[in-house]
Amino acid sequence: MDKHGPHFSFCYFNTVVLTYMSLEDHLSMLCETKRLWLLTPTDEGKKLLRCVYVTNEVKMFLEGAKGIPKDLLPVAGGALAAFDTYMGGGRVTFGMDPHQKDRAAMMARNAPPADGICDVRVLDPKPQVRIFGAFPAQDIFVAMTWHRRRLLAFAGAVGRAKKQWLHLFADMSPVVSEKVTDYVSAPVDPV
Amino acid sequence: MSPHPSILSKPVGEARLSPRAIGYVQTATRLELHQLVMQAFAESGITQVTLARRLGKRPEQISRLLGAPGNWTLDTFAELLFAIDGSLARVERRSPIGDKPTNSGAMGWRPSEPLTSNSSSTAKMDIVW
Repeated sequence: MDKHGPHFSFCYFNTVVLTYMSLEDHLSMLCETKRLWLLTPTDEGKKLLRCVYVTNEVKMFLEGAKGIPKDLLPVAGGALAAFDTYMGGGRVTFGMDPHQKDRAAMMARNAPPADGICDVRVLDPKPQVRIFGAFPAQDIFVAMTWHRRRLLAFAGAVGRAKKQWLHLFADMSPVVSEKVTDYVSAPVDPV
Repeated sequence: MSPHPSILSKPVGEARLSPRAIGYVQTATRLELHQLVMQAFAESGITQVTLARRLGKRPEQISRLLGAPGNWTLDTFAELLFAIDGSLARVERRSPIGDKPTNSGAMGWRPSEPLTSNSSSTAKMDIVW
């Protein structure tokens, strides 16, 4: 058993099980081989209404592993709180237009939207961090890479996330849609 | 007791809180207050222009305030909530540990504190509250 105790599984939402059985099997396989981890809310009182899977890279960031700069430890805590809000079914502000979004959006699509790469925007505490990932299905976010916002080259970060996606999901396409609720169920505000 | 306690474990004695725990609770509280205000705003049916007029602010200021709680003070929170629908917040304490949700069907990974807590960190934070 991993030092963090029981670690992986998959979402037991009825809708996911019925509609995305093959995706569920694939996510389960990725968890069994420890390439993905299903994040459980840090706040044990939160309901699990949406889910987040993380790669080892993001897992290390969130747990403040050795090598993570000290100034990013509070940011990792902030990221966990943002993920808890998302997982708990909280209201999400979602930037659909990569170039015209509200600067306070919690999640956003990246250019080009056709690639399906989105990011979680950890705005507080500072320094800001972006966690890149994609949605294999509605309400399932796979967080793959992270970067400090300062000095971030978005094209390179999106390219790296795309490579990770291919590595994890091969020819399975992430969600790409002009309808925000195809990414995240309500309550969600396109901004 | 688990060898790897949650980052939200109850503080004990004079042990310094971890930077991650502080980052979590600050952000979580801000987001929760933001959610409360946004829920009230959505239910009220009023526009940002109306809200701006009630508060004597410019619409772009309201847009910025509703966008994210990053720069909110407690006063900002209180005036937004009251201006939206005349309500006050009810605040209560609860423990984030051991409070099981009713639909917890998945057993996943939850970030925990390392055994050797990085308790001496002096990372600076932008504290808004």
